[in-house]
Amino acid sequence: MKDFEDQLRDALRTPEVPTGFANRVMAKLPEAYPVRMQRTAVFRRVALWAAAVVICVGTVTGWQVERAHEERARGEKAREEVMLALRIAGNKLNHAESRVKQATVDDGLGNGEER
Amino acid sequence: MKVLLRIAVLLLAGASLAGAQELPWKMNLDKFASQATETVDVTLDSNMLNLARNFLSDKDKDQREAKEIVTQLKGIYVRSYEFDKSGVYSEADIESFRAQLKAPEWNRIVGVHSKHDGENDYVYVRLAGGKMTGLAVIAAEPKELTLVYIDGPIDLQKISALSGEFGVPKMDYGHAKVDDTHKKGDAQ
Repeated sequence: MKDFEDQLRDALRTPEVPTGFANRVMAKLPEAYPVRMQRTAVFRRVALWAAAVVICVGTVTGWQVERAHEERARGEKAREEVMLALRIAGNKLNHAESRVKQATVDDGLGNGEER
Repeated sequence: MKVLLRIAVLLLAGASLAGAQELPWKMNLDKFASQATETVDVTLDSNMLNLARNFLSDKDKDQREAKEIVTQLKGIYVRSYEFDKSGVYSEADIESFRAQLKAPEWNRIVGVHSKHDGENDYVYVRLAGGKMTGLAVIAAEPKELTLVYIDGPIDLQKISALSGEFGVPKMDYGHAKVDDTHKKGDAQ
């Protein structure tokens, strides 16, 4: 019984901590964890820059695409207006010319046209 | 500061004058536009013509011809108004348009005034150094008024050929015919 108690007492006894153990453990901690923390920080920084670059490139590309689209729309509108204007001009020229010819033919009929 | 203000005023005045010089007619056309059922308002300065030229196709016949025409032009201006009734414009308006196309800068090559159907057609060209440097057309029908001004060297035959899509027969604009008509116009 006595032996059992002695054994139990030994087992429950607080082990003696070697001198400087706590300091050594604390000294080891920065070596074990900061590497991972540094990697995370670098990764975050790179990710932020990458996101910023992607946003910038996307914005510039989008702006250029929009500008090209607007330029194309302006060009196509200008082309349509050129065609319309020249057709109206041609139409009116032809009309005037045909009226001159008609008036020349009708000269003797007294149709009231002056040239 | 006052100097800057004066420069700004001068620039603004210059810009407004430049705008007013688009058409040879110094006249407010808004009164026609406000009463028109259909309006065509085309203003193409040299910048817009350059832009349009890049978009005119070489494959399409009409566009290829248009491209050739606009290459040397400085501007194309069209104002066309269709009305649902006659009498929106007066004879005085037409006379005012005509009066502003003065000799010797402008020469009338066609002038038709019809009391019968109330149509007036006038074609003027601007000549410089024996070359045509501008074209102005006044076409007035009872319910329609059209003003065309083309600034730059023009080939009338080419322009005339482009009107085919309207179903108007293509006309011969040979130089002899134009000269002959010109004499008729001068006799007015």
